[in-house]
Amino acid sequence: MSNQPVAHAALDALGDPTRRQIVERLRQGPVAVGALADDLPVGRPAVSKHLKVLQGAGLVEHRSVGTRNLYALAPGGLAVVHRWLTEQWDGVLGAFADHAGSAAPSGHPAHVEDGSTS
Amino acid sequence: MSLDPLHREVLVSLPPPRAFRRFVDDVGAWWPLEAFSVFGAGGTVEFVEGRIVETGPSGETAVWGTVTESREPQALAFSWHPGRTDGEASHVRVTFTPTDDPAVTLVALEHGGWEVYPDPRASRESYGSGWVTVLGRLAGGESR
Repeated sequence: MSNQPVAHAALDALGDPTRRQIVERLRQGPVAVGALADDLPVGRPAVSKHLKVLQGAGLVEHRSVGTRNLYALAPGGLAVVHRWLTEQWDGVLGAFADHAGSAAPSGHPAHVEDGSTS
Repeated sequence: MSLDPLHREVLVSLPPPRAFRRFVDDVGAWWPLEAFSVFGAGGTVEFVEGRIVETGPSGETAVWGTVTESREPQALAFSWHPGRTDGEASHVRVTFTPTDDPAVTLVALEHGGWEVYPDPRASRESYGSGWVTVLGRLAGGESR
């Protein structure tokens, strides 16, 4: 699946608590590195490093607006993670369907009580 | 003591003129009425002759505000009083600024005049998260 390496990179990037905090903060809108550092318990150089990782994973993008340098959630970045999670869930449901199919006694369909008379 | 205006920003994947038109012409399409409106889901909202008017599912109307400045495609300002009279209006100004990517616009919203609310601090806090959702819808991104 071509989506997988991208999703893995994003999930790896989100494995760090500071980077998760950055993503949560960016959910409120684009911000500059300085403002981000003010909100986080780490310094500006560390924030820059984390942003680079998030950018490399396709989760964050950089935009210049006049003299301001802003970081924002990349459109579709988290959708990759969402899709990956859905795929795993499809797998689980598929496995459950296989299991249910093999466990059902053949030739004896489950009898369902008709509760209307009780 | 008056409260500072609230600021919220979002990047929209449209050039400024189209971002501006989307804000005004398509407000009925992107505004999350189910979460933020007078009459709830099932109605619509539109800019009509300089006013922002919500129409509820049974045809009832509510004026949310009046445009006070329209400088297409850079800025749009309006009084803001959904569910209240125009004498109890706060004010909102939205700017559309180009970025280094010609296809992307920074939409910045400033909401001030909190002293008209019975509990200014609570209203400001509520709008603080509310505008994030609303602007997320404008951007049409994952924050919907």
